[in-house]
Formats: sequence, C-alpha cells, structure tokens
Amino acid sequence: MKDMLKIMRFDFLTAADTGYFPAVFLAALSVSGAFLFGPGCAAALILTSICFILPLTSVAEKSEFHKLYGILPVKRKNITRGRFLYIFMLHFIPEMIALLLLKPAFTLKAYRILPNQGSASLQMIENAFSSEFRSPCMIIFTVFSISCFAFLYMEFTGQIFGHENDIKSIMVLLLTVTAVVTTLTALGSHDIIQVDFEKIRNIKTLTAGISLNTLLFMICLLLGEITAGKVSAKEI
Amino acid sequence: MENILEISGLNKSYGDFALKDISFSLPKGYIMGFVGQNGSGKTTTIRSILNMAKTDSGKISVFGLDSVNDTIEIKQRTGVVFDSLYLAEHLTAKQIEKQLKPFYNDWQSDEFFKRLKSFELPDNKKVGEFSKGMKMKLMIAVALSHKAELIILDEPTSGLDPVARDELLDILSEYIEDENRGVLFSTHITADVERIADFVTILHNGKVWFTGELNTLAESYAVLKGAEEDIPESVKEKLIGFHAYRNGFEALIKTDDLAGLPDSLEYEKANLDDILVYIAKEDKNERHAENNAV
Amino acid sequence: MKIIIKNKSELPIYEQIEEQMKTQILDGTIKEDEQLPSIRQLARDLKISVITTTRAYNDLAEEGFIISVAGKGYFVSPRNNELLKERMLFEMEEGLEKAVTSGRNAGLSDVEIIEALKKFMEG
Repeated sequence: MKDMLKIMRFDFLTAADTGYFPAVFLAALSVSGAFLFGPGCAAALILTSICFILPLTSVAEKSEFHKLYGILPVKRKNITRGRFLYIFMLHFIPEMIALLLLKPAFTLKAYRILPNQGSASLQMIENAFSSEFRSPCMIIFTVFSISCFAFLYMEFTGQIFGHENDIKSIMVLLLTVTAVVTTLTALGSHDIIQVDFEKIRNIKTLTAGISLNTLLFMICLLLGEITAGKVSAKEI
Repeated sequence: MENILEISGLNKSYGDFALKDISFSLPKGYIMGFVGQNGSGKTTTIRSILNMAKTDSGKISVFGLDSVNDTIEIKQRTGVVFDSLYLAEHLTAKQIEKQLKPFYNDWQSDEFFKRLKSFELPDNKKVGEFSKGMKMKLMIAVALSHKAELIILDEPTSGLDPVARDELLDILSEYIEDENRGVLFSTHITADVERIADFVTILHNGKVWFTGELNTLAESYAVLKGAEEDIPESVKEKLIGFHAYRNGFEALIKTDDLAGLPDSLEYEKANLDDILVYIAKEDKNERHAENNAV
Repeated sequence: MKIIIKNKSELPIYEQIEEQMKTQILDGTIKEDEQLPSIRQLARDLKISVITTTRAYNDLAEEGFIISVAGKGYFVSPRNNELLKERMLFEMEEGLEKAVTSGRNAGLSDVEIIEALKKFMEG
C-alpha cells in the first residue's frame, strides 16, 4: 500500500541523517565483507544492520516526535506495518548487494590483492574461497536472516512493551535460542532426534536463500500485523 | 453559520480526572480561544479531536466529518501546532519538507519555503537548534503548507517572548482573512485570546464553564468591590469567588445581577483573567465550605 | 482612514472603532462614497477579532453612516443620506450651543459672537 511505502521512505529519511550515510557505509561494508568473508564478513554485515537501525529506533523515542504520527494523515496500522517492512528492507537490500558484489569478488579471487599473502588468516580465506561459491552465500543468508529476525523481534517487543526493555528482550531471545539449540544438540547427540545433516548440507543455495528470505518476510508481515493491531488502539 | 468544528457530549475519564459532557462549536471563518487552568482538559480535548485519544462517549465532527472514522481526511485538511516540536530534531527544514510532502495531497513546496523565508527560518540548519519561537513558526509553516482549512494550536505561545507571541497572532489574523477557515487555539495566556479571538470556550474542572462570543462574555461579568457589610443578602449567593481582605471584599458577579446594588459598592468590567481567577477562587471557597461543614 | 485602538480603554474596542469612524466621516476625513476595508481586512489590519469589526460595521450601518453594497463591500454613505444629515445637524447644533455658551462666558455680546461666526464662514 502506498501509505506503507510513504512511511518506509519517511523512516529512512529520519534515519538517513543521523550522522551516517547509509548507502556508502553499506556498500563499503558489503564490499569488505565480500573480500574478507568468513568471520570478518559476518561481523561487517551485522555492523551494517546495526548502524542502520539503531539510529532509527533511538530517534523515534526522543522528544515529541511520536506526536507526528498522530498528526499525519496516515492510518496508525499502516505506520506500524510500514515500520516493520522498513526493517525487512533494511536487511534485504544490503543482502542482495552483498551477494551481487560477492560473485565477481569470488570468481576473480579478489582476496589476492589483500596484503600479507600467505598469512594464517589469509589461508583461511583461501580455503573458504576454494570451496564452492555456496558457502559465502550461505553465510550471507544466515547472517542477514539472524540480524533481520533480531531487529524485527526488537521492534515487536519494543512497540508492545516499550523500547526501554529492548536489552531485556534481546537477552530473553538469546537465552531462548541458546536453550533450544542446546536441547536440540543434546537430544541429537543421544540420537533421540534424528537430524539428517547430509540433507541439510545438500540444500541448494538458491533454495536456502529464497526460503530464508521468504520466511523472514512472512515473520515481518506477521509481527507487523500483530503489533499494528495491539498498538493502534493505544493513545498518542 | 456552518460549523467547522462541533463537539457534543464528549466524555472521557482517565485516572482521577474526567472530561464531562463537553460541547461547543466553532463556526467557519472565526477564531476560538480555548482557555482554562493547566490540567483543565484542554489538551485532552484537542487530542480527542485529532483522534489521538479515545473518548468514552460523545461525537466530534470536523468539516462535517466524523473525527474517528474520517480522521485521515480531516488530517489532510487540518494543520496542528503543539507547544513542543513534533518533528525530527536532527533534520533540517529542507529534509523535513521532503519527509512530509508525500503524505499530503495538497502539499505546496513553494508555499512552505516562502513561509520559511518570511519567518526567517534557515532551511539548512538542524531544527533542533532552533529557538522555541522558531520551532513554533516552523510548525506553523508546515500547517500552512497543505491548504489546511482548520488550524489547531495547543498552547502555542507558552514560553514565548512577547515579540514571538505578537507575530503568531499576526499570522493567525492573516490566516482567518479567508472566511472558509477556522482556528482553535488553547492557551492560558488570556491576553492573546482577548486580542484576537471571536469565540471563547472556558474549561473548568473538565466541564465547559462558558462557550460563546467573547464580546458577550466580556459584557456579562464584572468585578465587584466594596465593604462586606454593604452586600445585600440576596446577592451574596450570586457572588463568584468571593474573597475578603482587610479593607473589603472582591468578587465576580454577573452584570445582570448588578441592578439595584447600593452605590457604595463599586464595579468594573471583568476581563478574561479575572473570570478565570474568580472561578478558581470559587472552587477553593466551596472546598473550604465543605471542609468546615464536615 | 486611521483607527487607533487603546487596549486599556474602558470603551469596548468595537465602540472605539465606531466613534473614530463616525468622527472621521462627519468631518470629512473619510470621504462620502469612499470604499471601506472589508470586515476581515480591517480585523487583520488592527489585529483584532473579526466579530469585533463586524459589530462595529453593523452598528455604523444601522445608524446610517455606512452602507453595504452586495458583492462590493462597505462604503461611506452619500452626504444626502437622511440619517447622516440628521446626525450632522445634531453635531452642528451642539457645536453652536457650545460656541454661544463659551462666547457669553468670555463676556462677548451676541453681536460679537455672530461676527466671529461670520469670520469663520469667510475664512
């Protein structure tokens, strides 16, 4: 809907000038990610997302800015939906750019121009590059999905429980995830649950990428709807 | 006279405060001052008009449209000014214009920048760095840039120096030259209301104490002074906000009740300030009476 | 047309406007048939409420000093307007009465007073 696009643009413009120039920053980090994939890539990509979204959420809470949402001729529900879509887009677009940059970097073995050829870390990169192209792609998909989910979740809990509780929410999320993963691993190692790792390894990159992004898009819409419903009844 | 704003039977209770049965109307082409002590319910009423607050009962219509169901269309045609800036403080006026433009069907960029210029507001400075008066004018510039037919201001002059206040009144005066527009502004600076408002609604303890033409109100009340002994019995209960001090007493009285009073009592026209002060005093008197009766 | 509003005056603002306009119409400062600012323009110029200027114009129209022409606005009544004439006669009589009283108080004879009057007419 047109309104949601307007809100996305609005939120982007609000965040765009908090001292960061998103496009340049994003491209730079994506490129560096493409060069140094592996641990460095993951870190860079996460950093990008944080740099995008933190300014947005912190700005919205300052001063009487929220009153603007009561004044603008937009449905309250669309404001919320637009916000969630914005967070999704904030991940999706850099994700696509990172992928686009990755392919040539990978094919041309771009890591060769890095200094310290022969060092241990470079060896790691060389190993990674010598594997199939799917690996860095999977890393990008995974990292962006995790980050996207984390921010969607934070926005969800933030709007419903108040943004002061953001840290708490993230803690809860991390603990839950850790607990679930630990449980699953424990159960798996005792053969209580059969986890077919071969099958997982053979998932096609494209399938994985599309599924993850679609899943996140669904989560985005779902959380957006729930939040919109709960929050639109609140007073400004 | 067509009403640009109509409120009838508005009720809203929250915490230990309540708006009770608020009803008043503003005809097209006029300015209404909305006055009352701090906490009397003015801001809540305004937020209800803008559907930023839910009401327990009552109906509000703006431009003949329902304030809840048609709130989007109403907001297209309404400009709002609050006592504090509701725009992103780290952005410049130019960037804010870019943000707001897509939301309004009738946004006029050249009008906005023309206003910025005449208000002497820089378009490339962070608006958070503006003075209070400049922030107010920025909100007005926004309000005036999408062909709004109604402007609602909530305490727009609180904290402003007399020059800025004067400038605001001038802007509103110019705005209302078009008889199809309306202005509602809430304030506790009664001088502003007396200067420029056609109508006034006085809110007291969540209820409407008076609504109507300002001139009518001005002619309806007087401040009575004199010696306490000279007050005829029958008049005593008609006094509002009676206050006795060493040399005599003061009270508000309806001009209708002035007939037949002894010459020893003096009176002079009450202004809006007087009325608000004496209404409050009356409350205090009633509370004392209750406490003493108990 | 020059109107000066005194906020601290006892007189309500609309009355101040009426008084000043009447004076200026009667003494010719505002010419007959001259177009007056619209109600809203005047309110804007004086920075007062529209209802106040409306009241002033309505009262003045009722008393015959100004007339409203549909679609065009308010104009000063032509000199031959009956009400205006009556009012001006009244002003003249008041003035004459004052002149005679003052002259007599100053010790002038009636003949001397008439001489003075003639001088004014010629001058």
